[in-house]
Amino acid sequence: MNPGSGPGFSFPATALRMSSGVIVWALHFALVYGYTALACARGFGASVPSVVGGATAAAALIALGLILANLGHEFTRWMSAALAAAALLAILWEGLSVFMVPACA
Amino acid sequence: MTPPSLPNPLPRPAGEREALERAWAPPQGWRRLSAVNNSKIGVFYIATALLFFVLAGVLALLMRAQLAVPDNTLVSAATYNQLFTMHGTVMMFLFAVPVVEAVAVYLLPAMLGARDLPFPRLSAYAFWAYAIGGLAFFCTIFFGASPDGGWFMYPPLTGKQHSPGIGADWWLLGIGFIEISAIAGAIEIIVGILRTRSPGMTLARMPIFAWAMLVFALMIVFAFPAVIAATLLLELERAFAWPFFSAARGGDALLWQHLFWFFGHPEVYIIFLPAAGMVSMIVPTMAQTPLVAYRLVILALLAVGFLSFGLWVHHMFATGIPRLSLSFFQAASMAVAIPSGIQVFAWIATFARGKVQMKTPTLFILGFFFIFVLGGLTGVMVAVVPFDWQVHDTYFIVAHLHYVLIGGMVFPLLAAFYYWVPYTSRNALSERVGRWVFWLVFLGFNVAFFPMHITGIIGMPRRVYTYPAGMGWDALNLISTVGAFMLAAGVLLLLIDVARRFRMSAEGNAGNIWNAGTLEWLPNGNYSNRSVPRVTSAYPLWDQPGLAKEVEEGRHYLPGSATGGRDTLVTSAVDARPQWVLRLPFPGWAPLVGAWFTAAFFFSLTFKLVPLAAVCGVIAIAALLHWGWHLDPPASHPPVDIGGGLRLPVYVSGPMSQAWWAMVVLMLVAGSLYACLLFSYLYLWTVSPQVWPREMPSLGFAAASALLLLSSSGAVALANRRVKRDGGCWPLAVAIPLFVSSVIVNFVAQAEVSPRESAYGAIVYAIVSWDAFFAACATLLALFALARRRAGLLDRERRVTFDNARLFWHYSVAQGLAGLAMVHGFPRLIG
Repeated sequence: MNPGSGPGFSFPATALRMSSGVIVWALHFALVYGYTALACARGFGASVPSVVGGATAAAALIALGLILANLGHEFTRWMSAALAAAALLAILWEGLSVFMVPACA
Repeated sequence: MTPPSLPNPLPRPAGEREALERAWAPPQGWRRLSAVNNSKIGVFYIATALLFFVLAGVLALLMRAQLAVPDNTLVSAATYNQLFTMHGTVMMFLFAVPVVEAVAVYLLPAMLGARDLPFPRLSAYAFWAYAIGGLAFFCTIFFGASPDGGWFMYPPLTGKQHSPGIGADWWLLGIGFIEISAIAGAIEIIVGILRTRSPGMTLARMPIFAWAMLVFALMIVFAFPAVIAATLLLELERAFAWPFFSAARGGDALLWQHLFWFFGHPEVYIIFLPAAGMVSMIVPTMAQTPLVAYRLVILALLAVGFLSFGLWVHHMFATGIPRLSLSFFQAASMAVAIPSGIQVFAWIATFARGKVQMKTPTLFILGFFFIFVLGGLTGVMVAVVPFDWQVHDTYFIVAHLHYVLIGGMVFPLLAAFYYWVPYTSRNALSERVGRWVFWLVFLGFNVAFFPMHITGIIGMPRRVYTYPAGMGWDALNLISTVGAFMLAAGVLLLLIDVARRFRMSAEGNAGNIWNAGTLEWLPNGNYSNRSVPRVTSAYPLWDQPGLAKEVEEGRHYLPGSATGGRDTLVTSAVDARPQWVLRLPFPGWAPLVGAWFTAAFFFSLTFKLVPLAAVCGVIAIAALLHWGWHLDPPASHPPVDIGGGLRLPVYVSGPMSQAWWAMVVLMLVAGSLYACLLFSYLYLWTVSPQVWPREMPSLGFAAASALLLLSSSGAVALANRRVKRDGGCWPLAVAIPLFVSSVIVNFVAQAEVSPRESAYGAIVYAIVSWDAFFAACATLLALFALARRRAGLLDRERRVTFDNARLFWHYSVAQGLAGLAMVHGFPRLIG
C-alpha cells in the first residue's frame, strides 16, 4: 500500500463539506448581530430590518442549496445535509426576530 | 486453524508478547513521575481532577454553613467573596474540563484500539502543568490571597482600582496558564481521535464518546483562546494601565463580558458534551442494545457544538444591548435545546428498546435525565429576555446552573465512574453501597438546589455572604444547607467505597462485567491491546464474535512491537485505513521539568518577580527544547510488517505526519486568539470612535513591514526547496532578520501612540506586541531547525522539525499581514 495516496488527505474537504451548513449559520449570525450592533451605535438603525431580512433570506437559500446538494445515505453526505438542515432552521428561527422586535430599542 | 480473513496467523513467534510487555513496562519507584503513557498519566489526571472536585466541594459546604441561618458570622464578607470565587473557578477550570480530558486521555486509546495517544509527552506536560498550577492556585485560599471578583471576574470590579491585591493576578495568570494546558490536551485528543483509530473504525463507526470528545476538543480550540485573550488584556490593564476596560479612556467593561462569555457559554457545552458522550456509551450497554438513532446523536453533538457559539450574550441580557440583538441570542438559546432534546429522546428510546440492567450506573443515568431535563427547562426560561431580567443575579440562576452542571455533568461522571471502574480495577465498586451513594447524592442535590429556585424568585441575590431574618429566605436556606451536607455524605461514602474496593490493575482488571460492545473492554495491559483490532461495526464486541480472543492471541494488526520500542498504528482520518506506524516515546523527565518551570514562570510574574520569572522561563524553554530535540526520530528505519500483507513506513513527514496535524490545530488556536484581538479592536472602535486618531502613521511603514514579512516567507519557501534538494535550510538564517525587522518597523510606526493614553493605543500595542511574540516563537523554531541541521539531524527525509517551523512561520506572517491591514488599513477605510 502506498501511504501517500491514503484517503487521509480528503479529511479537510470532508470536514469542510460536513460543516458547510453550520459555517453559513455562523457567518449569518455574525453578520446580523454585528450589523445590528454597529447600526444602533452609529445611528443608522433604520436599515437593520432590510439588511437582516436580506441576509437571512440569502443564508437560508444557501443552506437549502447545501441540503439539496448533499442528499444521500452515505455517512458524510447524510451528515452534511442534516447539519445544513439544522442550520437552515436556526437561521430562519433567529432571523424571525426582525419581524417582531424593534431594531434599536 | 486461523481464519484466512485475520491479518496475522497462529502460532505467534516466541517472545513477541514479552517484547511488547518490556517495551511498555511502566517506570518503578520515584521514576513513576516520569511516566508518559496514557494508562499512568490518565490515572494521575483523573485523581487530581477528583481532588479538586472534593476541595471545591468543601468550599461549597463552608458557604452553605454560612448561609444556613440569617445574620451568620461564621465567615466574613471578604472570605465569603473568596470562597464563591474559588468554588466556581476550581469547579469550572480545575475540575469540570480537566476531568473529562483526563477520562479521554485514559480511555480513548483503548476505545479506539490504539496503544496510546500520539503525543504522550504532551499529555504528561498538560497534566503536570495543570496539577502544579492548580494546586498552587488553590493554596492561595489558605493565605487570604485568593481572587474575590466572582468566577467570571468582571471589570471594573477586578481592575487595579477596586481589586488592588494580587488575588485577581493569581486568577488571570493562573487560569491563563491552566487554559494552555487544556488546549494542549485538546490537540492531543483531536489528533488521537482522527489518526489513531483501529483499521475499519470509520467516522460512521466511531464510538459516540470519541465523537463527543472530538467536538469537545474542537470547541476548546475555538472557545478557550477568547478567555486567554481576555485575561491577557485585563492583566495588561492591571500591570501597565493599558485601558481596555476603563471607560474614561475609551475602554469598555463589556468587552470583557463579550470575550469571557464567548468562551464561557460554549464552556457549558464543553462540559456537557463529553458527559453526554459517556451516557451514550453506558445506556446501550445497560440496555444491551445499540444506541437508537446513532447518526442523529452525532448530528446533535455537532449541532450543539456549533450553535453553542451563538449564545454568549444570553449572559448579558441585563447590560443594555439593543433588544433585537438580544432576540438573536434568545432564539439561538432556544434552538440549542432541540439537539440536546434529540439526545435525551435517543437515550430514552434505547432504554425502551432494550432490557435494562438496573445497576448503579443506570441509576445515575436516570438521575441525570431527571435533573438535566429540569435544568434544561429552566435554561429555556432564562433564555426568555424578560424572565431573565426578573431573575438575573438571583438564586434562581444558582439553581439553574447547578441543575445543568451537576445534573448534566456530575451525574453522568458518577455513572461513568461506576461503569468503567471494572476496566481499571480488580474489583467493581459495591452495588449496595452504590445505591446508597446514588440516593444520598440524588436526594441531597434536589434538597439543596430545588429550594433555590424559590429563594431566587422571591428575591435573594447571588453572592451575598449573609441576609437578614424575616425576608422569607430563612427556612429555604436551611433546607438547602441540609441538602448540601446530604450530597457531601454521598460523595464521602463513594470515597470510602473507592478506598475499600478500588485496586488498580491493567492486566488483572474485573473485565467486561456489563457485557459492553466497545473496544475498551478487550483484554488489555500497559500496551493497551495485544494486537490492534480490525473493526467492522460500532459495537465490535457484540458484532464480531471471538474478537477478544483473536486480539489477545495477536491475530489482528501489529501484534507486537514492530520497531523494538513503543509504537502504534496511524490510520486515515475518514475511513481509518492503515497508513504508517508511529514510534512513541519512552518515559522522560522533560515534560515534568518543563511544566514545573512554566508554572514557576507564571507564579513569579504574579508576584512581579521579573528576574526570577525570566530564569524560570529560560529553564522551561530549555526543557521543552530538550524534549523537542528527541521528537523527530531517524528516518532510516525500514518499513515494518503489521499483518494482512501490509508493510508500512515508520517515518513520514508532511501532511501525513502527526506533527503536521498538531501544528495545524495549534494554528487554529492561534488564529482564534488573534481573531479575538481583532474583534476587540473593532469593538472598542464601535463604542469609542472618539479616541481613534485623525492622522495615521505613514503608509510607508505598513508597506515596508508587509514587504519584510513577505520576504521572510519567501526565504522560508526557498529553504523548503533546499531541504527537498539536499536537506540544507540556510535561507532560514535570512528569514529571521527580515521578520525581526518587520516587527521593529511595526513598533516604530506607532512611536507617536501611547498604549496608556487611550483604548486605541492599548489595543494597537496589544496587536503589535502579539505579532512580536509570534515573531520570537517563529525565530526560535527556525533556530532550532538550523541547529538540528548543523547536528546532522535534519535532511531531505528527516524533516518534521523543519516542516513545523515552516508552517508556523507562514502562519505568523499571515497573522502579521492581517494585523497590518487592521491597524493601518481599517482607520483609513472608515475615514
